Amino acid sequence: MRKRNTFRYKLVLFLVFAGPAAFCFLMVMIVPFFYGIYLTFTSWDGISAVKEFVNIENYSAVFADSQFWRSLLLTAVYSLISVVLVNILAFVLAYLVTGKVKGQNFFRAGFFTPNLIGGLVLGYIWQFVFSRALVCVGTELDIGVLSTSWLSDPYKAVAALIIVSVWQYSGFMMLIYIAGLTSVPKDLIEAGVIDGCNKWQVLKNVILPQMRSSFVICIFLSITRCFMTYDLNLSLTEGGPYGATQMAAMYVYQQAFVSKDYGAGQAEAVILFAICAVVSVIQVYIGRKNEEVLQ
Amino acid sequence: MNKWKRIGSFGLACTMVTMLLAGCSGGKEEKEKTEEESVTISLLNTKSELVDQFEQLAKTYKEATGITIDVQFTNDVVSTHLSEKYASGSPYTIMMVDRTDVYAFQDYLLDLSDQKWIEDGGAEYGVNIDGKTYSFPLLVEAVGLLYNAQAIEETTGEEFNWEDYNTPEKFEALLKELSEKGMEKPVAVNKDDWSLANHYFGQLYDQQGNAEETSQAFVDSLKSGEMKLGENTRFQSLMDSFDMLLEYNINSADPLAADYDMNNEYFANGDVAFWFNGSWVTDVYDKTEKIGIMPLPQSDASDEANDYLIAGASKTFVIDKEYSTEEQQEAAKDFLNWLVYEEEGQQFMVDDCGIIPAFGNITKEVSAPISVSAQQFIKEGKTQYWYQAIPGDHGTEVGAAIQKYMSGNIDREELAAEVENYWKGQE
Repeated sequence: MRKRNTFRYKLVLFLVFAGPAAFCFLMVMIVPFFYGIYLTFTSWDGISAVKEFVNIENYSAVFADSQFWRSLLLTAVYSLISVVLVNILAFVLAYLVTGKVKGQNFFRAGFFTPNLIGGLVLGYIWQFVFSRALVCVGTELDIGVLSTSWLSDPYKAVAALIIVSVWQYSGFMMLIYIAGLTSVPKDLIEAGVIDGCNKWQVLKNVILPQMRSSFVICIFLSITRCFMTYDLNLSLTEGGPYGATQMAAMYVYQQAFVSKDYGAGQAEAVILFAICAVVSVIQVYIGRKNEEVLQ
Repeated sequence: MNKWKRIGSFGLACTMVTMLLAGCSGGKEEKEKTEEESVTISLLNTKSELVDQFEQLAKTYKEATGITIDVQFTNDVVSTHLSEKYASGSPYTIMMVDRTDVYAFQDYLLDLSDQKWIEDGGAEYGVNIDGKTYSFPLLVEAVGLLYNAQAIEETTGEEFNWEDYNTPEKFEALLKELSEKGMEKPVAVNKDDWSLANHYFGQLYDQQGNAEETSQAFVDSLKSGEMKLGENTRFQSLMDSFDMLLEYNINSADPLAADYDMNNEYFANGDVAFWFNGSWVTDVYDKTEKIGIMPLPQSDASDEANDYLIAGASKTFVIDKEYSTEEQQEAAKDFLNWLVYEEEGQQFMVDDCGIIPAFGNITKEVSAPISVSAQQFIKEGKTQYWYQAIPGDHGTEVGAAIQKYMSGNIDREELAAEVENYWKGQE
């Protein structure tokens, strides 16, 4: 019998099972991440072979770039509204389709489908809806709000982005809420009913507190997704009208690849990452803490 | 039993690891293998209207020479796409780029000065840096106002000759007449930033003395902040004409909701008579062939602005020397020669793509009416220098400013200020 607690044995075992995955993770996540951080200290234009070291010049330029902060603010507003709406809608949908509705599976599949369509395609479909279909309906029926394209007005274009993201993500979040709802112990609900709770009170006092972890996951997922939105932004509004709906991820891309200022673009990406990480960590921390209090 | 299970699972794990590693290195082996058999070169096409033609070309070329061309297409900003490709170390052998990209990517490009076609127009229309030619001019294009003569004649009942309407007064009178006689909005204006900023607004840089040096000097004065656009007659003249186009714009209810394909359709159908665009427009001949191109009528007629058409070599082929093998580079050079000197190559350029070739040895006449119309100007020497050394973000930045102007969010002065600011930021 071979010894199983030597270091060598454990190492081999690790390499055989976790090695390939660890290798891939290292190569496609960790190495590019640190290489990216290195690039923020250079004035690389994305093309030339020389990468000149410029210290923290890129960061100071980014902090002085008002347009970047504007796009970040827009992203924050967009994310906040989207996250709230996505989660409310997703929960309501989940609650409805787990109740005694006929054709539950059909509705579940239907609400989930938008999530299977890629963001780009989705954007182009909705672009048609907003700039042609709705305009057509609006002019025929003489509805003022719809008679001009939403995508040509800076505020309505943001609204359009939010509508499409809510439509896209709520189906996915709904699945998580369904899982959460079905795992609420039946005896607790029954106990509540026996104690004289009506439906609303059961929901508020029994179901919702039991589903805290679902909320933590869903809010986390929707925050990170919304903050990093690029595909939808590109295909639905292309940052337009006149750059008014250019969100952070898109601005970073523009800076790095179109304005050919790779170092600054990368520095913005790092800042975006930091903000996103901090927001997510705080959110998960608070969520978890409340969970502990409850238990 | 237990022992076998262990050996079995270990074996399985090993196989998976090997497969994974094989997956990582597989690409390279495969590449070497095909190279032994025959050379494969890749080609990047960046003109959306020529996608089908290039697919067909790859087949023709394979039959003629046995060399496989892997044709790829992108709709991205070319320099953006290429910097991504170079960053990942996988550019194309032959790349169709804009002229400014040649300067940006110069370090990676093959010097083509020793090629035969240099003599036949390559040096004149290609991009020369320090006396070396790095690019193969694929075509000559023109920017201007497209007109649908059939639609105009049907509405007014008079024969249309663009020279009769080459001042803003006469032109506006025609627009008014068209509008009164049933064609309510006779103009289509794009909202696409490349069209607005690089082509329409680009006329400001083009019509500055009809020479590369004078255009460059004008742009330099913008960069240094000396030039005040508000006092510039060309700027005012262009914006006056722009206002006129916007007044008769078919999309005037919501100018930023304009759609390029819809504009194309309006123009082809004769719903509008004029469309500011260029000679690359190809799919508008369903209804009529009486379509041509003319200079935009402006109040400032200096530099023959109302008579000379802006034309120049735009898209150009370059060959990568960093990541392509010797064989691929040779094959790429052979391909360019084939385009210029073989019957099939010329046929591809002139007949299939309907482009105006930059090479003097090609005697084939273009057949597409807009190209014929543009070629007329070129033959008579009535062409205006086309300034194409515009930075990559000119489209998005200046385009956004013009879009704001179109939708009435800023006035002409504010537009001038935004453009001035943009150029000052370019050092």
